[in-house]
Amino acid sequence: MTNPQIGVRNLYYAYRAPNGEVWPALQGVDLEIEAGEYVAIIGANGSGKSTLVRHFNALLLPEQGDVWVEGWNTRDVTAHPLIRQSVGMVFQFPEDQIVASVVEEDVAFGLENLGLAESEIRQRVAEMLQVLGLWEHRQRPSHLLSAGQIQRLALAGVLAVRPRCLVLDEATTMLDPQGRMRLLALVEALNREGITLIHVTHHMDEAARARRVIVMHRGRIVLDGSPETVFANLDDLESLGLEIPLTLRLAQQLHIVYAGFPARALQPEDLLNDIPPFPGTAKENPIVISETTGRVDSTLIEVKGLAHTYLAGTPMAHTALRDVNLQVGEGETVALMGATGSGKSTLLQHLNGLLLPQRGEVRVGPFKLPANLDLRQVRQYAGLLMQNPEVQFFEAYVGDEVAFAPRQMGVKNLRERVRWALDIVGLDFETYKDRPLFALSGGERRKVALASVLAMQPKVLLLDEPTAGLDPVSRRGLLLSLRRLKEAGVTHVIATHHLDDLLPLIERVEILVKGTHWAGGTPRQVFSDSFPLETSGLLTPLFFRIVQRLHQQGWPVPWVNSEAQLITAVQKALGIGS
Amino acid sequence: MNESFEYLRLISLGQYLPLDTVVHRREPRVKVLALTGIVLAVVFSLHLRGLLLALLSAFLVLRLARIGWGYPLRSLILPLPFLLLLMLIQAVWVSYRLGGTWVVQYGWLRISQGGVMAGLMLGTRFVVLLLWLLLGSYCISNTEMVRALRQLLYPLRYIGIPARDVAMAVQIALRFIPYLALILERIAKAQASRGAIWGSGRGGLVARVRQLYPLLIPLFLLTLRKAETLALAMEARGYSNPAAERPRRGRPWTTADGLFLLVAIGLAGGILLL
Repeated sequence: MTNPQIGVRNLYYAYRAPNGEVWPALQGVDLEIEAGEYVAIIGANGSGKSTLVRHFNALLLPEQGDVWVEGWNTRDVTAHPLIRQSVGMVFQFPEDQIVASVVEEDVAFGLENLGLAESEIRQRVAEMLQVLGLWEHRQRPSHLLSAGQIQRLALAGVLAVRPRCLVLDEATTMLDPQGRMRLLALVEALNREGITLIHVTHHMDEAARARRVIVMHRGRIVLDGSPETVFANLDDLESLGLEIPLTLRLAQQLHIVYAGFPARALQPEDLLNDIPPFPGTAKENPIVISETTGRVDSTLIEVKGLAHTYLAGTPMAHTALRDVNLQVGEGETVALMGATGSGKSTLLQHLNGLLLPQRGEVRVGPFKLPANLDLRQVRQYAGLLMQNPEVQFFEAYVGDEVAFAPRQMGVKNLRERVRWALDIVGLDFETYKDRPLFALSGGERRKVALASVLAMQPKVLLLDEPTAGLDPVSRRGLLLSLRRLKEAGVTHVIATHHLDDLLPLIERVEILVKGTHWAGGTPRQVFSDSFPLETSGLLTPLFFRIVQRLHQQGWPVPWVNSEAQLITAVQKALGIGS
Repeated sequence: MNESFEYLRLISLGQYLPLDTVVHRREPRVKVLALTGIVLAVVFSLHLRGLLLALLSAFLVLRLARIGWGYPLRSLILPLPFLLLLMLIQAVWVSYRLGGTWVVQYGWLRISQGGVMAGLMLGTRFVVLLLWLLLGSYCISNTEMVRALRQLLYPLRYIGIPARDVAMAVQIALRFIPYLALILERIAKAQASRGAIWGSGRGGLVARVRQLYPLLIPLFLLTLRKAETLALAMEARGYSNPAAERPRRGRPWTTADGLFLLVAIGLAGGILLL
């Protein structure tokens, strides 16, 4: 009998706080993974996914039960070098995995640990850097890379060792859409060559690419099977904090409206290729464009010829923005898009005066930068939620954290202000104000972080990757809050890689390429098929690809921004409903 | 109120500058040995002439390594007031201990010729040491440093010194310096976005310490968390593999490496003996 590559039996594991509190993370997991499998592990924030995969290369050892890797029990310490050579792992925060201060030397770290010859090391490092597009950065200090580059560097360091099994622990989170697709294509190609691929992810569309999906909930495996079977039951998934992949969800709904649509498409290509021709006869002038122009009269934010170089005047100088022009109308919601390292975060930080223009001008509402020097007022006017904001918490309790900004501003009725902010993000004031921050789930933390910015009652909300690292239910909750704010007239500028989630909110898309403003317009203009997106690191959102394909097949449907609109449009085209 | 969040700018120690120059190209052990020799010579040098030679040669090597003088000199500005105070204390101390001819007399404060000399020596020695150490960090990458240390310390295993762990500890400490600056930058920006003021210097001492609170707590927590993840990642990448105990063989020394080391030893001798 052959052993599975990874075998887990009756695994229990708990985290223990110094004060004796016990947080059970795994509660009886049984699992076998064969060599060459492609497994996705999904589950809500805090369901035990990361804890489980850390047992696969003996980073964690079972409290109860056993884990075998390639036939070795992970309790056998002498086997650890072999186990770790066999199972490579890329973690959630890639910057924390970098050992060396120069890119190419970091890739060599794992190889040096294997005791390989110098020439072999040099060859493998060069190969890995080229495959992952880091060759031109090989001499750069690792801490000055962009988020996406650091993620690729972390992967390069792991792949260089040539593991037989690769574990990605939410490793696609910080990448732009093309970068994610490239990364997945790369590891999937390795998988076809025989390497086992285990992918922990919050993105159901990514999970649907695997051949086996494992669903975790509160430290247990609750579903395990092919994507088709696992994603078959909507109710089950929603109660687990998950959702059906967008492609499948759209396919199912379209199938109910018209049976010609495929009901079981998991991959975008499956759905697009099987969109049937329009069954009726097309009416005259079929395409009714029902979108707003996306241009509002009064501009609230104006950026002219903005340029910014980090560490200017030192040998580490790095130009992030070259020449950016941007206008945002009052009440508009603008998505700031572009490849990783294209300057989105730098631009956002100019809009609330964290960075001052080195060249060019920025106007935000009544404030002109760099002329206006009361930056506190600017920051209050334009609230910024930074990337992974929850790591910057410093108070112990939710209420105090949210109250920090209004207290600095000298708001009189602090309590009411905190209540108001928590209310918008959908957290009940009485229930949450005295909760310790560390006891919150990932989604709740993000909500508190948003509330603590909202507590300043900003007119403009600047969001840097607000949905990154959130499970589907938390993402939906966040979108709900943003929608409420939008209705209240708040202007949004959102830097994001995940447009599919945010599309219903977005009026304009502005694209940055290498620090210059490259294109802008309504989502439809930007993503219509005539627009070359390759250089921007972006991909056309699924809705638009479906509409494009529908048009090709003769369907008289307008451009849509959301699921509901798409279904209604198809119903209308068929003459169903009003 | 004009804050700059580029804390990284303040830190030039521990910043490797990946250039391709006659200095950078030397084999890591050569660079480490040369630096160690010169630094020791500066520490034990007894005469101003030797220190001035070390100062001049530092400027020359900075030029050779195409780093320029502005960048390292800027990092001398921060400790300058502190250094001047130290020089004064040294001068006064030596003056009172040794006596001699007074050259400065102002109330109770008297400084002798010997004292001036001692103060000058201290200041020069400090500046020269700092320049050479900065030069070392610009020209020796952390990994080169660690690799060289491992090779040079490897024989010490017979007296129970774990060369690899010592070297790794050095490496991580070096890597964390710019990293802490970046974390601090991120936290300070997040705080500033929520109305906190940095760098305004307003308020009394207590108020200013209180201001630091929200900065220090997340910095502390984040650093601990990062250290933990780093340890995990190092384990996951096979750091504890016994196969890696033996240091990698470096590339053989070229004639240029040999010459470089000879010049460095000569220089160290000059600094010490002049």
